[in-house]
Amino acid sequence: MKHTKREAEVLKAAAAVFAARGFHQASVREISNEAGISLAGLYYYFPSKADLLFRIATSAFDVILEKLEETLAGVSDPEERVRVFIQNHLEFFLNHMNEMKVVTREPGFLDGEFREIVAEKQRRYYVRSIEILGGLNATHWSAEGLRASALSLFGMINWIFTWYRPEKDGDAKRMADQMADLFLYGFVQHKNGVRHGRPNSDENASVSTVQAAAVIQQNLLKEQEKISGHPSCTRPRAGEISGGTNMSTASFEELIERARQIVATPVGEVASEWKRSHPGGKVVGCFPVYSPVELIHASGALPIGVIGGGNQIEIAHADSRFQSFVCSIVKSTLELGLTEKLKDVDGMFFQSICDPARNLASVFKRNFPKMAIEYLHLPQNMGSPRVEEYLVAEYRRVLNGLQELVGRTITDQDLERSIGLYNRSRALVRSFYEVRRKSPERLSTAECYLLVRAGTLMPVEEHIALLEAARVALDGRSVKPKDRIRVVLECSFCEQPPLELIEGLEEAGCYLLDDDFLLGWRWFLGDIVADGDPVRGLARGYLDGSVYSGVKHDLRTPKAKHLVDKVREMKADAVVILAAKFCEPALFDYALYRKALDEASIPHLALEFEEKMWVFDKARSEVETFVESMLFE
Amino acid sequence: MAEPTKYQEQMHLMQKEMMGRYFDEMTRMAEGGPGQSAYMLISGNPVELVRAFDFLPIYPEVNALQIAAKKQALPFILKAEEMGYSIDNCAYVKADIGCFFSGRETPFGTIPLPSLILCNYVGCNVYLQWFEHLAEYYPAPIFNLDVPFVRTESGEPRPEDITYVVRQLEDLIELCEKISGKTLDYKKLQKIVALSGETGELWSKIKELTQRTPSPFDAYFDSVTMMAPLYCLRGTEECVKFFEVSYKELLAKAEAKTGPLPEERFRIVIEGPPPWPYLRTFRDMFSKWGAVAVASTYSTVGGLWEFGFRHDPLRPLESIAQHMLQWNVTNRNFLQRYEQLRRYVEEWSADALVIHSVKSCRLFSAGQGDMREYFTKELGVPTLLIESDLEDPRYFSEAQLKNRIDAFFESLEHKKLVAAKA
Repeated sequence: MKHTKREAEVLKAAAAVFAARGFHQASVREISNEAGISLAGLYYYFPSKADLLFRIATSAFDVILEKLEETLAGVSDPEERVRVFIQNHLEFFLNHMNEMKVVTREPGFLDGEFREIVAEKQRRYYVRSIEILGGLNATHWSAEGLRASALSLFGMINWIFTWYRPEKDGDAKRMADQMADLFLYGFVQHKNGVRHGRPNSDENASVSTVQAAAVIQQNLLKEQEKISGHPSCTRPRAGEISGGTNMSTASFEELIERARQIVATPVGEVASEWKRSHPGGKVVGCFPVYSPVELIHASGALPIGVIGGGNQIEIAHADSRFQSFVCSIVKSTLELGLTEKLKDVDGMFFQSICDPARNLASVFKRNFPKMAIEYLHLPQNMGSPRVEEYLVAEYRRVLNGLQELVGRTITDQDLERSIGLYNRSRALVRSFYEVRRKSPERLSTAECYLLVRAGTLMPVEEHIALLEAARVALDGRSVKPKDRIRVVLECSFCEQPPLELIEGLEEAGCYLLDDDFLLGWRWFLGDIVADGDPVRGLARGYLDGSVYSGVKHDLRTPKAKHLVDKVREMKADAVVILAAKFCEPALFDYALYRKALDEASIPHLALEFEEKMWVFDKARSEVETFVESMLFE
Repeated sequence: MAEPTKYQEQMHLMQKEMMGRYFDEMTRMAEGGPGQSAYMLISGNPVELVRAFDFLPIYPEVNALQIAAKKQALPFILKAEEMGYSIDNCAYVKADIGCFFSGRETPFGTIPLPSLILCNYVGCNVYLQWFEHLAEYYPAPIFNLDVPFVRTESGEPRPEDITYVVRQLEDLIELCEKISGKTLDYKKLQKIVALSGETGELWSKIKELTQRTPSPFDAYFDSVTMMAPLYCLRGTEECVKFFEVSYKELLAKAEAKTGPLPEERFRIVIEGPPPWPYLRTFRDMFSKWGAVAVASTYSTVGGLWEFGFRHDPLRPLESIAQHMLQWNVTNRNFLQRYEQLRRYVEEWSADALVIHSVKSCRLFSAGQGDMREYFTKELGVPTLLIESDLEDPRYFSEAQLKNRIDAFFESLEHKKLVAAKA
């Protein structure tokens, strides 16, 4: 199918946006911005988002197939034909990286006729590869073996978009040759028939593979030591997260993409996956708002955030247990349990943030007897001289429970090490929030959110590596500030809004200088000082070194004061109260916030959301109207 | 057949008179009279300590429910909603705050401003919000009495929890001394605690009476008559007197085998607060089937005495702490409520469980679907789950409720007939 120049430009822009955001999270408006075309104009050429994806995919396949036939004509040597095949593929995709990402990842999102047509072209390409490989007459491969080989070859030539660097890896021809050699002869064999698997090889490469491997390993170890402060021996590799992204050279966008993939992983899968690589290990889920994750980590268990099912889960069973006037996160979390998605989660931490959450702990206990359910009573008489002793005792009680769960004693050294790690990850997160405060154009809220949320789904050691790489990669970024209002966002400390809504808020014209998303995972203002008594250090941190939160009922300051002070300190223009539907604590807080904001003459907008929402137009247009009223005051 | 007791109906008269005096005392104070008041919450509170300082205890919950019962809640609720409170916030709070900003005048009296805002945080997180808001609207000293929730396997508070609460009570004493200008009279406190103990004893015995067949009173609808003095006047001589009279009267009824209805056809346990704006209407929906409540959880919000706990004058602070930690419905966890209801169904020989789910109160209601599941599937107890609200008149759908209640009792009746034939 031939496209006009204009259409081609739009498709290029769409590929860029789909590659960066994923099909579902990409918005047509963003594509129109990227293409420099009006929304109406875009719809004129392409009636839907699916249509864009369809055209990108079919166009890519058409071009590749056409070029393949062209370059194959006149090449009869079977091995040479394999090289041509690979080079043709790489040449196209290395010059169309976005298209490559999209075609590899996204066609599954098409359905109906679109899906069939794309699948047909994919099949044709696959069949061509089988024919070409068949030409080698490697009779030791059965039909199944041939199939697997062809698909493995595709795996190799498709995955390069995650790691390819032109300055390191050379051009398409060089890559194609290397990959063809690898595929045709394997890693140890060379085309001249010599095996190079022995130390006394006479390879004419400048550095032997043994030495090269040693250098790579050395670099990785150095990175690991830097992170954890002592020689890495128990924790697995750093510097690389599963999925192939080498973080030390990844761009900021690639790291965000990686974070996005992690965040899109269902929490149950995260638990199962971690257990596969840590046989015998335990996983403890943390329900909002704040859990003392260091205690869990010190026990050797993996703390992960169980923050509802988002918009990925249908509530079919939990509806009969919790009424319609209860917030979604309580129901979706129960749904996760009732549908066996939490089978690899060994324990859950709940705490007193509100009455439904508290009852949820009991419902969990009754319905999932194999799970170790812990309910923490975090203190509400802040400022009392009695509180520290109480909280220390409470943490020790929880620690005993964890010891029983994992079957070993947790030492003070374990705790201090865990505290050190989480101090580091939190400090890194604070640094990102600093960037948003000072130069919000450089780091979007959505990007920052993904970096923080990813941390709730991975070991803290890996999270630190991700954050450190992101921090370095962000340094190079310079973005022109847009004409947006500066906003402080409040009331999203438990149930989380969909990422699309967060992005929508920003795109509607807001720079969110601060927010309370995932507040419990960013609970401390500075480092926890263990000072010989790590449990007491954690308790003191909670009492006197933690962020303001509505669920803490700290009577030492009037409720809304922190909000008004923050707005003034950050020189924000307005406040957005973004509260989950039926969220009791947020709704109560709103009454006091509203009064205080009115008295302080700070403009504000109250919005409601549900984690499971899919339609954002209404919220978006409310914010747009609000922004306009502020910009044109 | 016992002769008509001379205590007949004295209970009701006494109650009216006592509560009248209480509300008058409240109004006098509001109108500039002497004395100090402490705002407090019904569930698991240290009223003994408050009375030891001669503070008049004021209960915003009681004020709210009285307002609803007199069908005056809606304007106050709407006022609060105008101020920014949500349609989904607890309507007790909204009615109270609406009233607070409307001069605090009600059909039963005027509510004074507080000298002390004492938030006894016993499980209900809304308590914390409510009083936090009041403290922002009026500069009285506020004290959060943090009572750790029952969260251990044993269902008992830990020694550390008891210590924590007792130490806070000591801090509270200091604060009360500052506000009142008096020092604590320990003997007076002991006396008051002893009176609470006696009240608890009588209340337990009264509750036991409904184990008999027929039950001499309705443990839900009639309990509300007794709950008012129990909550507002616990720790006073007149309260003990009231319960002595009530016990005699109800015992006489029990021995005469008379109950609240001409015929007791069904014995039910009721879970959840009542719909105060429609109490009479709601009651009639059950009376028409001869259904009498033999036990209820709502009557234990202020305290759970039927399982043996007593306030102990020899350990006043400790027993007050235990009452707050463990012996009231709100600081106990949801599964403990299942257990409490199970005991009621078994030990009070009930035919069915009725769960009245109220939109305002998530402490009571959130998750009652799971409760129903437990009772029907695991225990085989016929269970009805109905919904309305405790304060907001807009959520009572009479026709719907009637249909559901009728259908339920029809099927229960049918089951009884079938069982009788077998």
